[in-house]
Amino acid sequence: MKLLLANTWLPTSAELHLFSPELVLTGTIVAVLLVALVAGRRPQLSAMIALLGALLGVLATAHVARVVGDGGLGGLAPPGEPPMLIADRFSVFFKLFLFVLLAAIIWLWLTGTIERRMRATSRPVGDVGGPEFFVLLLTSALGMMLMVGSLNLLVIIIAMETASLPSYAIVAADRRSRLGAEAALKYVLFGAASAAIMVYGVSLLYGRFGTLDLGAVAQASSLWSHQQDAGATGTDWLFCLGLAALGVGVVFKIAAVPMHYWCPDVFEGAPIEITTWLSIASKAAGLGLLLRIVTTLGGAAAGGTHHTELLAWAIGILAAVTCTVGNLAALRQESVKRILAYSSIAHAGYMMMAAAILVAPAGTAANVGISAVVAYLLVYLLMNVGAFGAAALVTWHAGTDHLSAFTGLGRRAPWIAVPLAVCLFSLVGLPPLGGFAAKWFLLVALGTSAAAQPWLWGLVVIAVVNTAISLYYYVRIIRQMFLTDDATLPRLQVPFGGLALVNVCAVVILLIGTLWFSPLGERAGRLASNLYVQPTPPALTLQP
Amino acid sequence: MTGEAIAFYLLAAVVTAFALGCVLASNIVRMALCLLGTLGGVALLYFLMAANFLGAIQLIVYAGGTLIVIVFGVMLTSRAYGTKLRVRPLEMIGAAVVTLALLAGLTAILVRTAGPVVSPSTPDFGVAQIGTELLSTYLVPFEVISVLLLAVMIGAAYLVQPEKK
Amino acid sequence: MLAAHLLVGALLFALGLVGFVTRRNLIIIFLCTEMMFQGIILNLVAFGRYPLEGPPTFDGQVFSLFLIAVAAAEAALGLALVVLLYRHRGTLDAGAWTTLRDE
Repeated sequence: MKLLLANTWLPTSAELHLFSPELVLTGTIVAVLLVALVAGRRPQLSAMIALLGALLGVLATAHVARVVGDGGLGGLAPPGEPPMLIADRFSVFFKLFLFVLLAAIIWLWLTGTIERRMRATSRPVGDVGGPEFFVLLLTSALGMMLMVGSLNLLVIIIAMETASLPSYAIVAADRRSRLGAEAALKYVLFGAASAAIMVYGVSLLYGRFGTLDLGAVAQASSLWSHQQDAGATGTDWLFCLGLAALGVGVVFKIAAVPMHYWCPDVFEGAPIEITTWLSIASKAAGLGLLLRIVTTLGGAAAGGTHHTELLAWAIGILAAVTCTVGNLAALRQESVKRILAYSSIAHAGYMMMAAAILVAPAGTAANVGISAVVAYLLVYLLMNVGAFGAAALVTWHAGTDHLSAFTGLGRRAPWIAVPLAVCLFSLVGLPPLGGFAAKWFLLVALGTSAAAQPWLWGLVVIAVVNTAISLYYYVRIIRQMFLTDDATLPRLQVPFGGLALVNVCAVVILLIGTLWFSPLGERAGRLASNLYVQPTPPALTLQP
Repeated sequence: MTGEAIAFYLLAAVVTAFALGCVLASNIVRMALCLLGTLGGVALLYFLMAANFLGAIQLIVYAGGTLIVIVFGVMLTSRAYGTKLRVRPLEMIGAAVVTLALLAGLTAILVRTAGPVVSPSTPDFGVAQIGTELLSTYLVPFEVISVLLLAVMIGAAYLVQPEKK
Repeated sequence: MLAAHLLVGALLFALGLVGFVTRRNLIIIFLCTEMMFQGIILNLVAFGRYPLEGPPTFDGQVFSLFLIAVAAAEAALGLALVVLLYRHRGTLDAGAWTTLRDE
């Protein structure tokens, strides 16, 4: 016994300190369960505890942000081993992002319960709740945080599964809803297949390089590429196949083409709080992971290699197709949830464009892409919480999310219609709103990197054309709200909490588009500045 | 040909046969039995590669656990038992073509990966060593997966719980 | 020997994937994911036993242990969902669920 314990390793408190946000989240999961055990099933109490946990998490993350400072830190592995988890400003940003989103989602849920009590006579729409719901929600948040906070392929896979499996269950949280069950089925089918393909890819990467550490994989692959370049240009097929299969899993999380089919169906069938959560958090975590992978591979491949160029092309093409497919499909939809689902696919496409920069041969341009995505994600969070929140308020009231439910909303509920219009115009990317700032930073990032990769201009053109297409379907909702009216429809009584949420989002979007335009860019640039980089072992340094 | 190689090819043939049977079977019980055969065969392959602990875990978790869960699933949905969702011939041909294409692609890449020519001497990785690794190098994923299992347990129990009237 | 092991793994994976895509019985679909995971684990163990470089390691085995746990969790959740779906529709046919789609 003593002998066995002597070989184990336990992290020190200083190391654990760095990962207090995850610990707070895990503690909240346990607290939700234990309180439910003592106090019985009281959904609102569980929600309050979860909300408290999310706010504590924000504090813990802010604390870690100060500790992390300027250099990315790795940790939670025995001395001499590559780190299992890493803490740098990029991962801290994602933790903060997810905690804030979590708080907004729980707030939306609380609003929904008030709404349901107000109209107790009608059949509740999207009746979800109970401690299980919050445990699953918090666990999926934990998985998403770990996805962006690790360079170890094993941890990444387990984190992705931790993000996915509870999500499948909460999509079907309303057990009486057939649509919810169908949505969960489609989600789990796509999820299980893409997870299996991804893990197969990881098994090949492990076999090819004999390590599970992505940093080591990146160094070994770039070393191999440079050795090859000295002679003939070879393609490492095993590496490419492994990377492509790994990409399938990431692309599923982002809901980009070709793994986007689940997205509109799941978003339509799920309770709207969960739709909001998945549309933002799942995509953000997937994009964070994608950026992490490409910066690690691109960073190690100093000067760029045949493989990183291939990767950049693949991501660029996927991004262009994703955003075009999303926008074109959104034109034909009648359900507001589906319109917003396809719009989220399109936005994922815009953001993926920035990931194509990161593996540019220039090498130094890496931060431009990351800071563009960070800025875009922040604005995207506000726009989607605002738009989905407003849609939720209308849906709870009307019992449907069909476009006709929004008729005359400008008269019936101006405090929903105006912020919703702001969010939708911002989703288009019109000035002076936050969406314009986000697109601006993205296009500038693409443009400045186009010196090294001229084909990035193609992405700029595609993004601009797509913005013009997207104007049509966003304006369609706005027209329905303000230009059509039916005098027989009564005014909407909506809970104050929901109004506060959507209006705060709209005001911040306005502020970002005007006063906070350049501060957003600066902050995003700083967040992208200290990525954790694997120290190169002396044996692997390249000869110039 | 060494004894190890002969054993491997025999087992590979058995595993392939069971796997094909599993995918082609129309009856769900027969299919589960074929899967059991596949899992057992793969477990023997692990023993052959000196992964004794893994082979034992494979038998316990899969054959003992996962298959029982599946049998439960079959029984809970028993009214659908015996309904045969036959695969149409055209779909069958399509599936065969896709399988062959996928396999050809994978084979083309995998046969290039020349492993060590001589089988390396087999170090016996004991249970103690694996346990130590789990509690040192792999401590973080070990903890994360425990949270995952807890959440999945709660989620599964929640989904199958009957709705209160 | 490595390539032979990898081919058996690829075979299991490909059969599982194709079965997953073509079969319509929900329980069979989830059985097919198990088969895919078998192919993956076989890959990992084989790479650990016959590494391309260096001495054999057992990282592959440890990875496999985690994957077995993940696959079991996925199966449990998937089958719970199957029970829920069956309660709604009384069938295990995946093709019966087509309410959610584009207009």
